[in-house]
Amino acid sequence: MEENQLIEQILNGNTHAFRFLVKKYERLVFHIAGRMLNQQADLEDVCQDVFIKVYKKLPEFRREAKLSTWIGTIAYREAIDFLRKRGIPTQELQTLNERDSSSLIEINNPENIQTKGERIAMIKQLIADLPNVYRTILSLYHIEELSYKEIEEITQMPEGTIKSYLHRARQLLKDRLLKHPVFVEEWI
Amino acid sequence: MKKNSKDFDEQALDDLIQEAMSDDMFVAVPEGFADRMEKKAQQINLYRFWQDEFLKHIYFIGGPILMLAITFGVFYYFNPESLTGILSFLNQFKWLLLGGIILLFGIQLADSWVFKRLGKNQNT
Repeated sequence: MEENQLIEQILNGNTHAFRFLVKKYERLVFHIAGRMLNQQADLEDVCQDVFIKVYKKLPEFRREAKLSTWIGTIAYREAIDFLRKRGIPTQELQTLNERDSSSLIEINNPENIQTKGERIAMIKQLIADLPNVYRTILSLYHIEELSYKEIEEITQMPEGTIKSYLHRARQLLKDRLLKHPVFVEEWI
Repeated sequence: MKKNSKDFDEQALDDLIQEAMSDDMFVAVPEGFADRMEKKAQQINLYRFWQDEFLKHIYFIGGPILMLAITFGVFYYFNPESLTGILSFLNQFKWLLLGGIILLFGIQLADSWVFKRLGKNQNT
């Protein structure tokens, strides 16, 4: 179903069309909110709030932007609001440079990492330990394959900042991975 | 000869990030999430319907009452005696008037109910 048709049907009160929209964008919303919150608890509630907002605000959606970008923006803001309400810092980035990046990411029992699955699990742990904004930008870029422009619209950050955060996030991962013999042997 | 860390394979890192993050277990969408959202949307629609109906009643009943109040106010301002006469006249038919208002309200509510039933039948 075409995006405009889908919007029209939802605006006419067709809840099946809304279900279709949720199915189409639930992965994006869960990715954004999930990376920001970094926890499964409360994630569904936040994502529900996102889609309720989407449903209520759909008449205000100006079709200049892509629907996915608009929904992503709502998800990002909703996650930030949630973190603020809970008093959880949303920007750990100011202090990041002052901290030893290796202290942010600690690998548990690196000698046990042998199989591919274990390596993937380790990478997940490393990504989960990144500051929430880094995680989110990595996710949008690598998984949702959004352009810098689209990430800019969602996060309201300048393109230069996004590129810089992406670079720093990758650098943090790289530095930590290169401390491990398995990856050094494989890649260098 | 071994490469140094500057020659780190960027593509390998990309692949690894991609693989780690694309695993659905990392951020899993709960079963039946879309169905629950559809139900929420239905609740919102129902709430909106009753909100609209309530406002319609307010306009329909509140409007004439407001106009009557203004008329009586103007009457009272210019000629307080005539207002007393009107009120005593209305007092004779108070039960008739009260019955009329209740009937009007009943028709309004029945109207909303019939429309709601029609709407439900159309959806199913």
